[in-house]
Amino acid sequence: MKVLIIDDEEDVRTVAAFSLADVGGMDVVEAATSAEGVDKAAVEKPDAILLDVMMPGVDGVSTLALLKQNPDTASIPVLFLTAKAMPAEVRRLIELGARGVITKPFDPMNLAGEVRTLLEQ
Amino acid sequence: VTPEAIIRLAQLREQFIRNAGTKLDLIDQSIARLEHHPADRDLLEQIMRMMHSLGGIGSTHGFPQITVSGLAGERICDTILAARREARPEELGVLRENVAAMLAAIRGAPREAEPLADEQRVPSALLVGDLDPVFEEIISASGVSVENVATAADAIALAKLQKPVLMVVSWSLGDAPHLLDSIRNSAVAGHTGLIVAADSLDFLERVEALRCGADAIMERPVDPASLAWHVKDLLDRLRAVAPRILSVEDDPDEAALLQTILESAGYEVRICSEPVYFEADVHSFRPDLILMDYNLPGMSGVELARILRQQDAYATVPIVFLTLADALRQRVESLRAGADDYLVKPIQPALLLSAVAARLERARVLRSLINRDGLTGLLTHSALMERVKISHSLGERKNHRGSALVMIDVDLFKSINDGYGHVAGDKVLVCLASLLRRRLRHSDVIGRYGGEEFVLVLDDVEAAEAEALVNRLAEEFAASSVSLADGTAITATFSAGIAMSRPTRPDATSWISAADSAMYRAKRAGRNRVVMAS
Repeated sequence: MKVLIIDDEEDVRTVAAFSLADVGGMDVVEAATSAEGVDKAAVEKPDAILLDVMMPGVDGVSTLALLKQNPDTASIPVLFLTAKAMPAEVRRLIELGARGVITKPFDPMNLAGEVRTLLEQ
Repeated sequence: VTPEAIIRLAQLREQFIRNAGTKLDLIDQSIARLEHHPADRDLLEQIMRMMHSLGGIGSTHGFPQITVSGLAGERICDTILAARREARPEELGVLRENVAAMLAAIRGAPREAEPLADEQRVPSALLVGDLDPVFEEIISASGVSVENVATAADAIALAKLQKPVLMVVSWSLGDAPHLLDSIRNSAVAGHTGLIVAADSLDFLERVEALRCGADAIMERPVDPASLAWHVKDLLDRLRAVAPRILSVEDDPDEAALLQTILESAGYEVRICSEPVYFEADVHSFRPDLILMDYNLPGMSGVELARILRQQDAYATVPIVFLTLADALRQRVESLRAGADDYLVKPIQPALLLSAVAARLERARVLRSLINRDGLTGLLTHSALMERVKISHSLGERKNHRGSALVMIDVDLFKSINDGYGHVAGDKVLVCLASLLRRRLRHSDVIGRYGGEEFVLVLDDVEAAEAEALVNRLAEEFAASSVSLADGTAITATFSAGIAMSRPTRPDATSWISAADSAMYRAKRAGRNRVVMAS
């Protein structure tokens, strides 16, 4: 399974990549900006995208819209990463077309399991 | 999860700690500039981003305070930006407080990540340094997963996370004594058997290895049989609890005498005075040995023994019969019914104990004798855990006000050891242990959980009562001093966390971890205080 992580925070990307790859045994592709993420999604065709909500410039919600507009990436399930996990916010993100929401800070030992569970739902 | 992954995670955490320090300095500088330019939106956005970034990952690396303060700081910036107004002086003050809290969390937090919860762990052994393949063969044969690490630093990082049941350390490793010492002084102490492997050691080196906490020393060439024996012995010892003896005896005086003798030797004793309750007692008490009176009302001991022996689960429990002198027929019958031994009444204490001891496996006998911690005289970790489990199940009774589990950790204990030597540190522990024994009820459980950590279980108390009691203990401990050989008097304090037994803490492990995290909150709030888990 290949997962694309789009997050401007290097710290978050490193730990998430570690969790998914070293603990979860997944292939990981990283992107630091929305633009880089949208490009890599089209080229790499990941099985899932882990997308930070709050990024400078183009944020996560707009990035999701861009991914959904492109037929090549529209069907890739997107999981949002957010520190604001209020029920209303989670509902809003799901309504926008996300497959699930993972709250930050996440547990590095469980992130891969959480991703798998959300994708299986 | 591979050892490499755990080491990598520890490295990421170290890196986070370094970066967080730099980021917090930057935030501090930006707040100072914002003071002079309260309308500078770029500056405010920059602070918000850095707060967001710290908050978003703090807890991932075991710093919940950083997440709380980071997200709080982010919210303040967000509010000011959304209202399109200047930052107010009091808001800058709160931002500064949050930065200070995050800095304190980074400086004050334990340097290592929280260990994994018990249920996530498989028994594992760590082999440190260059070792003969025989170690891996023998240890994995005992059902323990084996991991190799090359350096002492990796071993310490991994040991804290995995709490291995065994560690084998090559003495040729440069800092082997230091590694053993730090393991012995860590929370892993008492959970981990330590074996030192060496080419050959002279007498003084042996003494040093043992002083550093080695449980066994294996010299080359390693004798596999001897290694296997040590491994089994250590594993048995670590899993040890006090052996349980069920005494089936209808005479109350006789029963009391048996109970006194056996308990003095560290056995846990239950009296079954009515044969009709025998089966129920066996099922609930799960005895390691049964002392059976031959003459019982209604049923004979022989009949009970036959009943027991018919059940597979109890086919091997030793049964020792108590018969009258010269009753040859009784002895023959009891042996036929599956008795392992018989003793003649009136009981001679020494004979009773030696017979019982001989019938319990050698390792278990050892266990019962080391049930109390050598330094403090309190319950050892394994005995303590058993008592915690029992108290936890008692907490569910009706009309019971609840039980409180208290986790106590001596503040800055390492600096006492470093500053005044280990003898001084030991004296502080003994002082605390004797204070606890003096001030608590006989029915309260007092144990040494590990290094400088103690656990109390207070039965049948209200939360407020427990809190007041532990606060009094903290005050008294802080006020008492320990004098060293050279006349120096040192004082110490402790931090404590209390957790009440609750349905939301369904087992002993979750109960302990609730008290443990309350204790860490007490540490983070500045030490020398008591925190009640919510």
